[in-house]
Parts: sequence; structure tokens; C-alpha cells
Amino acid sequence: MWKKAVDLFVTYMGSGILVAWFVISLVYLYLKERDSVKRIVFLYFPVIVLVLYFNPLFVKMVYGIIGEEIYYRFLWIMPMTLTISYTTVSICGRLKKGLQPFFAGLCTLLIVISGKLIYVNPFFSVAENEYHVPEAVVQICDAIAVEGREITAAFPMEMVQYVRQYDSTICMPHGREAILWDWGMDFPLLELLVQEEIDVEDLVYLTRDTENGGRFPCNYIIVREGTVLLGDLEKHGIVLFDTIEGYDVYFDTTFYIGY
Amino acid sequence: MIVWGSLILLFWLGILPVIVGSIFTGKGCINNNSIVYRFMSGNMLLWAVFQVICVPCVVKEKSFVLVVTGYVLVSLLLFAIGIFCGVKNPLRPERSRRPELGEKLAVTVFAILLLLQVVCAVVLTYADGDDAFYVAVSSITNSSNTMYMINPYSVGATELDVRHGLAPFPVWIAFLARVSGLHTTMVAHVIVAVYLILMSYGAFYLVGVQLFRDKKQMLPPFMVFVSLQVLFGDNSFRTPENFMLARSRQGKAAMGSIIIPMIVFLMLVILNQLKEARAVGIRTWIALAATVTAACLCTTLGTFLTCMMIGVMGICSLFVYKKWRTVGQMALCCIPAVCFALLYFVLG
Repeated sequence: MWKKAVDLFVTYMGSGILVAWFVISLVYLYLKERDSVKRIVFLYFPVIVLVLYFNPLFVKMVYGIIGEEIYYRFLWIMPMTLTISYTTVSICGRLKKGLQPFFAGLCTLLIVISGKLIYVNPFFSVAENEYHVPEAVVQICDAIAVEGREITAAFPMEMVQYVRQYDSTICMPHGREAILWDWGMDFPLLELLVQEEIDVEDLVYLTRDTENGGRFPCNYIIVREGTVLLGDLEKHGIVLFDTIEGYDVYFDTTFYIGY
Repeated sequence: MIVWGSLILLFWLGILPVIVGSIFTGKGCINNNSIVYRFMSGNMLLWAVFQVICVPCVVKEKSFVLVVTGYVLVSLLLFAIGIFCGVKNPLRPERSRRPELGEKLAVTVFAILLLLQVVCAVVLTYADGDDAFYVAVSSITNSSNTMYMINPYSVGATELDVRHGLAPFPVWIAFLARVSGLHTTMVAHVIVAVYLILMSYGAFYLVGVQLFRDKKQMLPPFMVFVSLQVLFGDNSFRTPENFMLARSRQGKAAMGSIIIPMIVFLMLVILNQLKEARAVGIRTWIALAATVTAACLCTTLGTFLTCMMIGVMGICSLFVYKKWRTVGQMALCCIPAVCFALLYFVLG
């Protein structure tokens, strides 16, 4: 448990430079800061937070309440950014006027080196529309939605997390919980939809037969364009509805949809 | 539609908080002339009110319409009180000193960095799986008028989700979408994202003002360094800086980068008044209690984090200033968090 807390701390802090800078800030405040208020907020408080964070008894108690996954959020209350910024500016203010721009430049460089620019994070991308969900999701949802009714559609994995953000009247037989916890085990349809070749009989079975494996009857089935379907879908009453933004949208004509 | 909706949101997110924030001004209050202080404290009170109205409705499985109606009525009442207080304590332009060249430069750099972050919040998107829950909850709430009763991930009704239902930040987003008529997803991903970033810097600014009361020329460089650390704060996906810029529509982000700096700011105000042997005004205590309650809106963990912050700083102040009464008052401000925490354990 304690080791996990240490691991969380290490991954939370990233490069050691930031930790070093923070520790130097605390030492500086201990030696130079005379204002008791600032000492409480930026020296005593962070030190106590750190002591508590690494205290095995505290770890055990808090783990019991909030769980180990989010224990790192306890570190949020330690005002690292504010402490480092305050210390940097305080030191800068004590220097001679001529040295201040150099010191400020050096500290800026240190921030750039010790941290990571957030916008180069690979999870960032240019938004495709004002909703910040993939345009394919928007267009498919707009095409299949029925006003005043809920419909069910099976989407491939990459679209699952966006569909109900955009349109909550579109239900799915599998949602993000399938990706999070039970990938490929209790959600065979999700696994099937990302295959390059899909057996039509399996697809029909998993999107219709709710008593024997399928979770919910699906009005629509969305697969990536170019997916090879092994068999004849039309024989089962499932027809190609449209091809939208690189996805084939199939419509199951055997279910009432409320038109 | 978008123009009309934007004007409505300008009222709810811009004008209303500033007017309501006037309640926290008056004799004995600091920051009377700061529009940022009024904006931030007004927001804290409005979030607290939303929490107090929404949670009972969630627990009792009432309609979202009831929350909207109740919150609109109470907000308008606060608006009227705020106007009354604002007339008594109007914003007066302070005598500004002539800024030095370095200060001007720092203000310009900060403005550029802030603009960059706002523009990026609009034109860039961050693929975060948690949005499949939080944004979907907002979307479902707005479209179905139910709260935490429908599985946001896939389909079907579900049991009341107490853990998330006690911190109904997504319902606040649904409220904004409902009153403005704008698409919930757009409100969450664009408008709320930008708004929370601006609020974060509002909180950082207030902290800076308290830190550099006697050296105002140090405030712009302080804001620049804070901004740089936020921009380069992606040391891991767990930092509050990452949450602030990447997941800025989630309550957790608001907790890390708005509520916590606001608690720091209010504790600086209170401790400074203790140090100077001045009485802490009732409005400051109300602002602290409101911020604690607002923390509960953002995340259930807010109950624990805010109490820890106030508790540890309070005990430190006891050793330094020996003022039992003030520590008792700090403890009273934690009562809302304790109540919501108890509710969590009782219902959970």
C-alpha cells in the first residue's frame, strides 16, 4: 500500500527537476521568508501534506475511504505551482535590477525543461466541429436519430465513447464500460465490430437474439468502410443504409423504429 | 440561436456572478474594488446554491426541471440582493500607479499565454474517456429530465448513482445548456472549458494579489510563472494542470485548479487578518463556507480535500497566532462538507 503511494507520487511528479525545484523553494522559504502567513501556507502546510501523504497509517486510512486509484489527488492540495511561482518571483525581487531579466529567463527555461508542454500530448487533436466529437459520430447520429424516440445502434470501439455525449437518445448494446472493464469477454459484439472480416451469421446473432448472447436488439449496425461481410445480410433483412465519413451504416428493417 | 444562447450564457456566467459577488463587499471587507474578487466569490456562492438545491433533488429522484426552476428563482433573488449591495458598494476605479516597463512586458506575456490557452480550449480537443460519463450525464439530464437514473454509457435505467450524484457538476452544465438552448456537448466542451480556465486564472490572480499586497509590481511576473507552469504542467496525466487544460469540463478539473486556489486565497485573507489582529468579517466566512460547498459540487472528494486544507492550515495558525475562536470558525465553515460526506456514507 505504502509502495503504491510512493509509485503514485513518482508518476505524479514526472521529472525529478520539478520536485527538486519544489524542495529548493521550501528550503528558501524556511530560510528567508519572514511573513508568518506565507510560511503557514507555502511552507508548513505543504510539508505536513507530504508527511501525511507518506505516513503508512494515513495511507491505509485514506485508501479505505477513497480507494488507491485516486489517492494521488490528495497531492492536489499541496500548492506546488503557487509555491514555486511565489518563490521564484520573491528571489527575482531580491536581485539587482540588471540581473532580474536573466534570472526570469533562466527560470522560464527551467520550467520548459522540467515540464512537458500540454498541447504536445498525443491525446490532443484539432477539433473537427464545435461539439469536439469526431465528425463521423455527429453525421451518423444525425442520420439515424428519430425525434422523440430512443433507438439502439452498435458502434465500433473508436466511436463508443462519443455517441451518447453527442446524442443521448441513441442507445448502444455496449458502452465505454465494455472497453474499461470487460473488453472481449462479455461484449463479443464489440470485438466482432472491429474485425476486418465479419461473419454475417455472428453479427445477426449478436445484434438480434437477445435470449442467446445478444444484449439488445439493434436498429443500426455501424462498421468501418471496407469491412468484408462474410455472408448475405440482406437475406436477414439488414440493408446498407448509407456510407458516412468512412463508415458503413446498416439498418435492420425487421425492428419497428417508430417512423 | 447561437447568438441568443451566448447572450443568455453571458448573463449566467458573466454578469450574474459579478453582481452576486457584490454581496461579499462592504465595510471591513478587502478587495471591495476588485471585479475579479466579485466574479469569483459570486461564482462560489452560486455553485454552492446549485449544490444545495440539486443534491436533495437527485437523492429524492426528482425531475431536473425542479432543479432548473429552483436554481433560477434563488439566483434571481441573489441577483436582486447583489444589485442592492452593489449600489451600496460600487466598484470604484483605483488610483493606478505608473507601471514599469518590466511590468508592462509581463502583463503582455501573460495576456498572450492566457489567450493561447483559451484559443486552444476552443480549437483543440482532448480525447478523455471520462467524458463518456460526465458529458453524457449532462446530455442525458438535459434530454430526459432525470438525474443519475440512466446508464450514461450504453442503455437503460439504472439505480441512483449516489457516488456521482452527490457531486452534480454535470447537472450544472446541463442547466447551462437548458437555459441557453445550446447543444449540451458544445456547452461542455467549449463554453465551460473556456470558462473554467478563466476562473482558474481568476483564482490564481486573487492569490497573487494577497501575496504581493505591498509589492504590486511583482504580480504580473507571478501570473506569468503560474501560467508557464500550467502550460508545461503535463508531467503526468494526474496533475491539476493537466486536468485544468485537458479535461476542463469536468468537476475534478474545477476542484484542482479553481477550488483549491480559492481556498488558498481565502486562507491567506483570513490569516493576514489574524496576523494584523483584525476581526475576520462574516462575509469572508460565508465565502469560505460557500467555497467548501462548491467543492462538493465538483467532486465527492472535495469534501475531504477542503476539510484537510482548512484543518491543517487552521491548526498551523493555532500554533502561530493562538486564536482558538478563529479555528472554531474555520471548523464551522467545514460543516457543509461534513454533511455531504455523511450523506455519501449513509446513502452509499
